[in-house]
Amino acid sequence: MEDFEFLRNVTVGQYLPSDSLVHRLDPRTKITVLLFMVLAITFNVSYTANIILLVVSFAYVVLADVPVGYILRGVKPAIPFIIFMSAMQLLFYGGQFVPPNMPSVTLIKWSIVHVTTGSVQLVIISTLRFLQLMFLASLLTNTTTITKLTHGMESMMRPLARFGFPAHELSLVATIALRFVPIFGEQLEIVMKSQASRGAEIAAKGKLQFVQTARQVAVLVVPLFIDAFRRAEDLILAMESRCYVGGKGRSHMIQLHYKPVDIVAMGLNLVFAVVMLVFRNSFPL
Amino acid sequence: MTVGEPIITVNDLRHTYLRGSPLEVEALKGVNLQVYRGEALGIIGRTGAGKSTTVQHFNGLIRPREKGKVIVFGQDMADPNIDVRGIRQKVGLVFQYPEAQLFERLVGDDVAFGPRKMGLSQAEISERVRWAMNSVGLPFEEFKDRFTFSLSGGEMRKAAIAGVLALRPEVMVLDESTSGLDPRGRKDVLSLIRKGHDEENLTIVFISTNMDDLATLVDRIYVIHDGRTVLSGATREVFAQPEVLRGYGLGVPQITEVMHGLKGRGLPVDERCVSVSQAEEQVWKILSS
Amino acid sequence: MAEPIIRVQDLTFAYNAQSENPIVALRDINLDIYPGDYLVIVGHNGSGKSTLAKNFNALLTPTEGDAWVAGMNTKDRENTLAIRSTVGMVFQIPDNQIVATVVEEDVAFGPENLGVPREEIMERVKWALGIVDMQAERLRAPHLLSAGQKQRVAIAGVIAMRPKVIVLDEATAYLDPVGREDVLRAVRKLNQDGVTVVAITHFMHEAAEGDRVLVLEKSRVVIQGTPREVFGRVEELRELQLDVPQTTDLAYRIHKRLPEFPGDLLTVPEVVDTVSEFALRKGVPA
Repeated sequence: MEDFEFLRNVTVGQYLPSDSLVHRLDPRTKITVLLFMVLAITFNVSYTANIILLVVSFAYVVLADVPVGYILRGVKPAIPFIIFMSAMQLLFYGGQFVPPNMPSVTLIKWSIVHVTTGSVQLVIISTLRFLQLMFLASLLTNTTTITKLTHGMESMMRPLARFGFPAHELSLVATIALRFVPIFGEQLEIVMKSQASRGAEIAAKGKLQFVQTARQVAVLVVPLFIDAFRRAEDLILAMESRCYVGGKGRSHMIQLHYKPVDIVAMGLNLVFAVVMLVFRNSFPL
Repeated sequence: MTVGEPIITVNDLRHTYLRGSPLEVEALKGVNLQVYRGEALGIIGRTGAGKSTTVQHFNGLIRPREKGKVIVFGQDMADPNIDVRGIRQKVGLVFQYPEAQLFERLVGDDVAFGPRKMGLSQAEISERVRWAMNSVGLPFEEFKDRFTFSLSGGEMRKAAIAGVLALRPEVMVLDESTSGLDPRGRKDVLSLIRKGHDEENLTIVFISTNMDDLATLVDRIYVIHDGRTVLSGATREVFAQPEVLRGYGLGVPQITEVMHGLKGRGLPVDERCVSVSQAEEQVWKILSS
Repeated sequence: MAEPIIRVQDLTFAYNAQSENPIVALRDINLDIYPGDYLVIVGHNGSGKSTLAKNFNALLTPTEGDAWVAGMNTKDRENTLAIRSTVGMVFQIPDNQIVATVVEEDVAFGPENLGVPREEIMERVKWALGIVDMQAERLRAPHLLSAGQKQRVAIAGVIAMRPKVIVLDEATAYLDPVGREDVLRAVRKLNQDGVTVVAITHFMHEAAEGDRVLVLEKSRVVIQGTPREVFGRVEELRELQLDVPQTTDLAYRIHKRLPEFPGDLLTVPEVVDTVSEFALRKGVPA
């Protein structure tokens, strides 16, 4: 039996309305916090630090009123990838990774296979990092509408516009792309169903779905491309008719304002990130 | 005319999109209908009423997963082991704006897609494509080597329909096949559907929001509203109830409205009239007395 | 008499004009559109009607002849922005006109492009959404709307620029009857408020909305006049394979049998009234 409903398993990017503290933060705050956390995560490879980071990320999820199960369900499609990466790291990276706080002990060495306590740590850390980043990314997109996100990013990039950086153009590109995601999603579903109705094998579970010939892919890709080009042509006419000439001279209806809670959130997070970075080599374990 | 057992039966069908997610939507709440062999059946309802969702059960694109039963040519569509491709050959489904499915560089190749997937011989494929293209008004010799994407909108529509016709199905389900076409295009599509029904004995299921089209094409109508079958009957009987239909956000053919208006003024007319010719006869009878 | 807001003189337009096989879409079109007019242009796909519409806001410029908007020649590139804020255009496919991910932000897009101050944009957005009756949906994501609602948002986005003319290029082609009626209602309101309307369509019953109808066939104007005048020419319309509304069809058939019966009726109430009147003369109902 086929299943044409993919949307159900996509949790990243899906806005979940609520009135939580995190929802009410300025999008720029959330982007900044995400950046600070990513920095902290990138440079922390000890078990302790990663447990702390996981707990903090999890706390944000709770603060944001987002059901944890919902986010974890979003991990499901990535599991084969995680398993594959983990196996690679466990078996072959023993020599590469040296934990900062402890010596690395070889467990198995046979030809290119080199398993050490280091590679075990690498696997565990990588998995924890993956979860942390999933939580944080999902959090950003589950609590912030795409629109607010693009406004936030445009606002953050605007100072650069003075130097010729196309801040508005880029953010419009992002907005249009995001605006058309559900449209292309629907279009994909229609094309898949149409071709299936003519006898094509689409979305059939069980079979080697990943092995496709160029022709099978063409059945879906060609109509979608044609559709995309048609829409682009139409959109250009509409935008020109509405006097779009680029970012110069444009006014903005939407304006973002920082509130005290935003400053506090960014401040606290900055402190946390700095602490984690400064002490990254001092954690026991 | 409805004879014998129905070839498609839908019984209290429910369907929820994205079930279990925060975005779930209950599209069908209890649809009932039957399709009989050889008939021309209409399904009407406002956009979003559930018409497309319902007919996607006819060829197994959507399976009944909740309450309700769908039987197509004797097969229970909830059974995961049925031969779905076999059903799809018997029940051809043309989506709304079917031009979206065109992908081959040459028209003939695209129409041949269905027959090719059926595993027919080259000779049979050619025969099918020739027949299908001629049936829709795209003469085979002239159009088979034309570039698909250089056709006009109306021609692409016909090519897409031909692509489904080439499967030689027993039932053709057409979802709003005249929408977006100009008057000439509409006439062409309606006449090819009529021909298919009259000459090839195709069973037709026609979804539309254009009442004038329906009046001339179908014998029986189901009205779907908010995921349920709310009205059914012969075309004339269904259109005899304009107030009820208006309540469902639907209209009736203009000429039927006129006849209702005249009936309301006390004139001796049959307000179930759905064609201009019939109306002309009735009005003339009064004015020439 | 006021100056025409759009004037087209000896306009000829060919696609690929410089190539070996130019496609002539319009030939020798002459037309004056006055402020407050409601002009309907009817024709088949390929008749040239969309091409003509695009000449009204300088998306296309004439191959021969001229087009002026509020006295500005469309060929002069300096005038383009002014022309496009005077003549707004709504296109066929609702989705392909909406740029933003929130309704009110899309409506603001046009005024933002013109650099209108923020406070005024907010007022215009509110006003525009009010005219099309979409105020309640102002914070919604466009992809969750019906086609008719999306089209109304597109219209709001255009009128927020406060154009003097609104051109609807087959704006109802992809809508269901309810959606079409909603759009027509909004357009009627705009025309009553003084906005000039040019509606391109192939639905004949929409032609009844206008005060003037132009029928295009194969790049030329073949019939023009009031809706009644144009519809009355049933035989010619039939020859052009254009739809005649069932009401006019019936009236015409009765007219052929009974010359005193008017053959150019348009609406259901008109037909019902006229038939009842004639019936009464015959003593029916008794």
